[in-house]
Amino acid sequence: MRVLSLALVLILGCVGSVYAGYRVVQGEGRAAIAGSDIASARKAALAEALYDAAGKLQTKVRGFSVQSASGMFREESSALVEGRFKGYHIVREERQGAAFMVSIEAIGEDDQNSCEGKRVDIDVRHIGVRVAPGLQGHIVQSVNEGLSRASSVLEQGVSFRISDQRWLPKLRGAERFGASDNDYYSQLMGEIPSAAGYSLSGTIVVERERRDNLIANVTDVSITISLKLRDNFSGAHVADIVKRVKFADRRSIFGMDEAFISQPKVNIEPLFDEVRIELERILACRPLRAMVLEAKGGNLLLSVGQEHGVAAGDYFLVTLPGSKTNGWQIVRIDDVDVKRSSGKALKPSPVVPGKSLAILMR
Amino acid sequence: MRAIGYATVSIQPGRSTAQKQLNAIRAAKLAAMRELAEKLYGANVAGQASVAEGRIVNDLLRSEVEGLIRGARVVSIQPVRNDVYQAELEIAAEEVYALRSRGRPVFQ
Repeated sequence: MRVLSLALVLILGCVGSVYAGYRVVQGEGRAAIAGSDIASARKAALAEALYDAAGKLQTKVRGFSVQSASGMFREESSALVEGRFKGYHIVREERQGAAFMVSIEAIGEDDQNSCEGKRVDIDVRHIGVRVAPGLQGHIVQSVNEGLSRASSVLEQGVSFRISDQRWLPKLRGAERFGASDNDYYSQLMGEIPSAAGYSLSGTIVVERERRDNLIANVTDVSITISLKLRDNFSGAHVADIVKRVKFADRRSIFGMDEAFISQPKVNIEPLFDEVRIELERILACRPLRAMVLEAKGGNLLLSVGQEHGVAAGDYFLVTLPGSKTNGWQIVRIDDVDVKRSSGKALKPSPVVPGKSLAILMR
Repeated sequence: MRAIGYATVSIQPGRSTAQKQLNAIRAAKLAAMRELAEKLYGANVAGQASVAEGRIVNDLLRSEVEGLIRGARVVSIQPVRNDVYQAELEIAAEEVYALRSRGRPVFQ
């Protein structure tokens, strides 16, 4: 029965939440050796170790006790273990007298992935402005001024940090390999695209909208911000953010020469404030990722530091796609700089190559 | 936060002594875990006592506990006498804080 439960637990591990955090848990299991059947005892001990590790992720405990007048004491307790694993490896296994012992280290998925205390990188890339012909000059000027202040509005975000790279063209997908012109220019300027972060780019469209009725000519100025959030590492499209605002422009009665032109004061900062709130919603609970910038032996340099909320003692999980089962490594952070951190790989293998992706287990 | 649980070996199910010992260890761990849950979340306790002519005639004490434990670490498991195993568990302070801030869980 327990083996079946464990199988279910491991199957559940395959369909875990996308935004789940990870934590390392140890488990130890022992099983009695019946006769000389060590193989069965080892299997049972491994199952017990997995059960033990899963219990460290989450155990629901219920207890009930009654003491009657006659002094009879009855107590019942039950524990329901629930845990999902990404993988595990056996640290130690040996025969201990009449029992077999297995000790494991497992990567458990943690539903309590913290949405606080970490900041992902967002590179604000090119945001173009398209203005419909015939619009008043001061409107266009207001939009451009608002755009120049966009970074300062977005910088108020608590779960991300902004790098203003609007002078760079849109992402082309090769940034993480350091092969694109964008990287060359940005490194010259000291602004390295965050390969493990996100990028934001798009357009602002300013146009005139007519909403005439039978007696009046009604014209508004409509401003639409359409931004695309992309994953710098994979190049994948993460989300579209579209925000729109309208300002009254011209009002006149048909047949009359007089018109009320409101000379609208166009301010697009509130629109970027809405963008900031949307970004918080999308990114706050996503795990913090880092790029392995250097890997020498078991020492690794990661692309995130204090500004991202990383602290000494944090653990990062590095999964190595394409490798065989259990292709993962744990990195413990020993030293944290403002924008970089360094740590050591805890397992002798697999060896982590440079430009791997590491995920903060918190 | 630490808690200790005990379990008797001889009353455990199992064909061999080794199996009974392992089951006793498991039972001791569960008892310690229950104590941890009581310390973390408290327990519902109900009691009733009756006295007639100065003499206890009915005395009933009932307690219930329900809780979610995460990150419990085994401090030690050892035989304390020939037939009894003792398990000591602990939860780190930050885990205690996190569990308490989540509030008492409601199970189905």
